[in-house]
Amino acid sequence: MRRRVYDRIVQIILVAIASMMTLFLIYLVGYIIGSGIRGFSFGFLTRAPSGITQTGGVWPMIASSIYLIGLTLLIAVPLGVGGGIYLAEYAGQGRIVETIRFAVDILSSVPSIVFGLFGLALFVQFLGLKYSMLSGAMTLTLMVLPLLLKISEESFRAVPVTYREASLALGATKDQTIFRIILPTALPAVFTGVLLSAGRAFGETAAVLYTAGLSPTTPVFPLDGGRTLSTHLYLLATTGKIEESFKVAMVLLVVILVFNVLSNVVISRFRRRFIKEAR
Amino acid sequence: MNPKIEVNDLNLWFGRVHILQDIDIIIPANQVTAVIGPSGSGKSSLLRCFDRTNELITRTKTTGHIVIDGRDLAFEDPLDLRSRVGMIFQQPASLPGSIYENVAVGPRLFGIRDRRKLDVIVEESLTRAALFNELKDRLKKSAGALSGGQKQRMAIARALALNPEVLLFDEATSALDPISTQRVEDLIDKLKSTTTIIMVSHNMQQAARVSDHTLFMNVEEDGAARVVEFGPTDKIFTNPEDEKTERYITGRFG
Repeated sequence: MRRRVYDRIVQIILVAIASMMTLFLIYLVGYIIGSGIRGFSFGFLTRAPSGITQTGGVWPMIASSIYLIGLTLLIAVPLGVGGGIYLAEYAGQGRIVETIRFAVDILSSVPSIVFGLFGLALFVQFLGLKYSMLSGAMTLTLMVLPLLLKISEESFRAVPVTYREASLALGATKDQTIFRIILPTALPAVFTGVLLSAGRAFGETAAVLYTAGLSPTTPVFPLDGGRTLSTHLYLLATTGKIEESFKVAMVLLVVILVFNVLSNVVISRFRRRFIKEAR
Repeated sequence: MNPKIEVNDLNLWFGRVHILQDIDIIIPANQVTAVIGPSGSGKSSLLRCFDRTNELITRTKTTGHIVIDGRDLAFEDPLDLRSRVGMIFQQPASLPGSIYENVAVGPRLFGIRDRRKLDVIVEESLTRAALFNELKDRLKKSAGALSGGQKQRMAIARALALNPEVLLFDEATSALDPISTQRVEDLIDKLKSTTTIIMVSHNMQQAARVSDHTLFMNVEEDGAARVVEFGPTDKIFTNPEDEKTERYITGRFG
């Protein structure tokens, strides 16, 4: 009897903690959207900010964010997926590979502002790329690469060994097996890694602040500077324009929520498929 | 009885471990040869010698010869060889994509792009695998939804799409239900008119039912597998020469 009471108490406590978390999340999202929606109009998304206060619109920021993410993925995806293929299929085992893995793990725990500082020194100043989309994208690439590399490698490893056997037994070469059989199978999982990276890049502030600049203009060329949504928010909040900040925060939040839902859908599809395969 | 594969004094090592010792057999053409023996007696390793897939997994060393139709395997291009020697595994792989894609994968690997040619190959292979009528309306549907037995016959169709001379079955029915097993056995019986079949089986009744010749392998004290007895299936199962064979097929060891 006592054990059952004890069991019940633990259960109640756990449920309470979980509901508190959920309530807090709902409150947070509700608060931001509630504060942001005041005075929000669709025009806010399509207008440029104006005047000395830099308020009234976020179109250049949306453009900069999309530009920056696009450019980052353009650089990071080939590197990350290529590296993942290498680690999973070609590298085998040994000191060098262990060192690479260790370095990747360390890299993933470096604070983003350090990446920003590094990008400032290397890309902006030393390589003379100025505060630009390209500097920002390369910095963000360094930042999301560990994540992308790890997810790609794991996705390749998760492909059932029977696929490999079947392909090789048909007379496929190793390259054919990897690119025609394993890559297509692993693609949905790799795609979730890409989405997660994009989400991280989208929300990143510190690394972008030092490398892509703050110019509130719409970037056209890779060497143009720009101000992303998150750096815009940072700037507004630190200069006391709280009402405007919440509008921007709302836009950011909605986009990130959409990102997360999207990647969850992909992950669950992928899982379901593999469970079916395994049976 | 025409010989298809001649194995002369074959020895196989994985690293330093001696796996197969002094294998000397002749596999007859267009017949079914069953390979039986307890777990770890080198049956699968022997099978993998015929399409040279052992060398993909570990460092191997081979001495002796395997000769198919007068040509020594050691001097053949392994990729080309694998297209002529098909392997069916215990767990059939349904690759991503449609049933059509699954069957067409082999010909595509060898550079056949022409859609009409592929259509013909896919239909023929599925027909030979006794699967075409069942699936003809859903060739473009995902292969993942097929049953285990259908997947296995699809894997056979995939191997047949390369028109192999030899088919190797590595415990191909041990994950299937009795009805699916029956279908695969019927298929093996039909396929032997065009191919030479070697099958590893743990199921004695199956080996007795399906095969023309039976090879019994066993591991000796030193850890390397040898051939204990090889002969017509009738003889092996009714009047074996070796006492170990008799004990194994009657289920008293292994």
